[in-house]
Amino acid sequence: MKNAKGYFWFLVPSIVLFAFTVAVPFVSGLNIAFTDWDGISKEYHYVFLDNFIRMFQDSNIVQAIKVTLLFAIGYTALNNILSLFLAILLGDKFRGVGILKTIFFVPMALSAVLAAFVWGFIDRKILSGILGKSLLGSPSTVIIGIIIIALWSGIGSNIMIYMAGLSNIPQDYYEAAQIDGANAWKRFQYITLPLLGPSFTTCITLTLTSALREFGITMSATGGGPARSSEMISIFIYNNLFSYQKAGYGQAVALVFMIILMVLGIGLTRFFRSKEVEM
Amino acid sequence: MKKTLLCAMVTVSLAAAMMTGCGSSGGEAGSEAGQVTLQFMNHTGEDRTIKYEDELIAEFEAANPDIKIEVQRMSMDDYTQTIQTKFASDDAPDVFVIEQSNLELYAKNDYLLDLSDTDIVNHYDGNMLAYDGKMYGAPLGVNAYVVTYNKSIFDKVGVEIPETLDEFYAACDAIQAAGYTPLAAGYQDSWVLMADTQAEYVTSIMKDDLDALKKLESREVRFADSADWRAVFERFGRRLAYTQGDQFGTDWNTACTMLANAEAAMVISGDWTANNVADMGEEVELGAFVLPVSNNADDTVVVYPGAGQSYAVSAASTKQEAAIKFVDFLTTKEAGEKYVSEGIGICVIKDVEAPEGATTLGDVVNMISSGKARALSAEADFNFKEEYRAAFQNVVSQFVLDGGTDVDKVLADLDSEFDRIAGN
Repeated sequence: MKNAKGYFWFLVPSIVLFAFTVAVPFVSGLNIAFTDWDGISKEYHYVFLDNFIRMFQDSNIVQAIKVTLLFAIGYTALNNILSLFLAILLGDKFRGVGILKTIFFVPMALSAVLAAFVWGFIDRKILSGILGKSLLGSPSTVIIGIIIIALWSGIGSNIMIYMAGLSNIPQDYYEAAQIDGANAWKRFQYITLPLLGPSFTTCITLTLTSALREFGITMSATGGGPARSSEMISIFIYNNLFSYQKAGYGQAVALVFMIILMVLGIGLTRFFRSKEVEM
Repeated sequence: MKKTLLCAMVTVSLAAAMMTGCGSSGGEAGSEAGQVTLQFMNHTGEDRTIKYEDELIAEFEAANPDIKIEVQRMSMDDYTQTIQTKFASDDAPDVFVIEQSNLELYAKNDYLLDLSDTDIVNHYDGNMLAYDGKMYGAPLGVNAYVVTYNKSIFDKVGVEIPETLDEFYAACDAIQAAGYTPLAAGYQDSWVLMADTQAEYVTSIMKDDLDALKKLESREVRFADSADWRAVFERFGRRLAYTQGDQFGTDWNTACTMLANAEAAMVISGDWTANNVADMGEEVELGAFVLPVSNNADDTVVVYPGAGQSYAVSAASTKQEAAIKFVDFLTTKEAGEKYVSEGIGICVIKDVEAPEGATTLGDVVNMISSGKARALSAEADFNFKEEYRAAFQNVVSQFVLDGGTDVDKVLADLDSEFDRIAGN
């Protein structure tokens, strides 16, 4: 306890950085949601709740919500299943495991723009040859294409968390179960799954909330196209804020979106925490 | 132990790099009294144009040792947003490039320096970028929408440059029958789709009605009620059958590569296509012609705006004198002649003449000199305003994805989207 104050100082750089890059701009931009600012002029007028009312009349936002949900749910499910599977595989010791780990983690170091660029190239030159049509170029497959890019570039962090979670489960449990005659699937079902609870809480919540906010990959891979088929909420907000000269409206949508994300994040964490078992 | 040492070394070298980074930018302001550094921002993309621009800048710096130019280039897609963010944060570059479509917004908000009282005015016969009677931008080249074609394919198949719509379709059929793709369409980059439709509506509609787009935005004219707009989409839809398919899985560079490699015979876009293809390395002979929009050969004329992309000076710049000097240098007659003779484009500076000898754009330049051209007033803007533009692009994308046959639907969809935006 004596050291608690000492530890606090380690947080200071992060807090300062967070305050100046996130907290301060956020608070100082809040009022924009209640104005008709076009994003460039020096003056703006307060329009009270007009922006929020417009949100409920805007048919385009429905499409953006659909696309966002489709991507977020698909990505979260695939990411967690795949990363848990890979974490179990990589937890074993076999030749080349180090190289494999590196292969899965390295894409995390690349930016979203670079990932989208590389995959855009693969899609145009290779996938379109194999499948007869590129994934990103048609509305029915564009979300699948973006999910593949997102998985490639982001799966490493969940593998890491699941691997840490797996290594925390005492080997005795598995040995005891094996002696009792439990097969591999039963051991996974009754030992691994429940005891990985904390990892699920972290991974699923983080993946889902970050997937709902997804912007970089989609923006650089398709820009929301073709014909709005990959226009997610984040791109919808960006377009209003910067391209359509409706900064007030964009900010209002962003505000509502943020509140929904916060409620969702807290709700999910609560739900999963309540399901966790004590070791 | 070894690892700790390595870590320490990496940390130290990173920190050192950061410090030298700060040092060099911090030292700049104070170094060498009288030395001025101008920030110059633009969205020049083609290698040949970049080379042209760099050579001019080097010449300018040699002639003015006290002025240094720092160029910042970005893609067209990022440019407008970046420059607007810079305006809003009081960080505008000293010299930058603007288009007609943004002139009013920037001029009204006092972001642009009035150049009316400078010598730059004398470089023009009146075709400068002006708002409210004041000159805010100094143009160099103008863009025209053209069909760029691969000469070897045209020769092998034996087709002539089409001057009427029927000749154009006949040429496409012949090229397709010979096993080539007649048209390469790289709609994955959204501006490519826009340029492709502009090649239609600029030549057929805006030639006679400069305010055609504004009338649609104000809903004075509806797409569905206009025979001209219906015709635009009928033609555009019909020629989709001549493209390679998977238009949204093909980007601009891929389309240009297809043209360069003689897989595809034509790309419908602007005069910049030839430059872009030339940058792809291979020796390829290209030509350009104007897309026919009717069966009357007299309707096929080059339509170009009086003023194209222009150089502007920031009103907030603290180095305006040097900036004006730089813009003056970029728009002299010599600069214009270099621009034309290197085949970069069409120039609007006074007294600049096209050189003898065939460049890719030679045919188009000849059309202008022989009077088969229409120069629009400097206020011409071929683009819809931002949100309308996005809506237009999205609806037309859907039209392309649906095969380009349902013209009624695209017109109705455009009307409902424009209604929605105008109502807001």
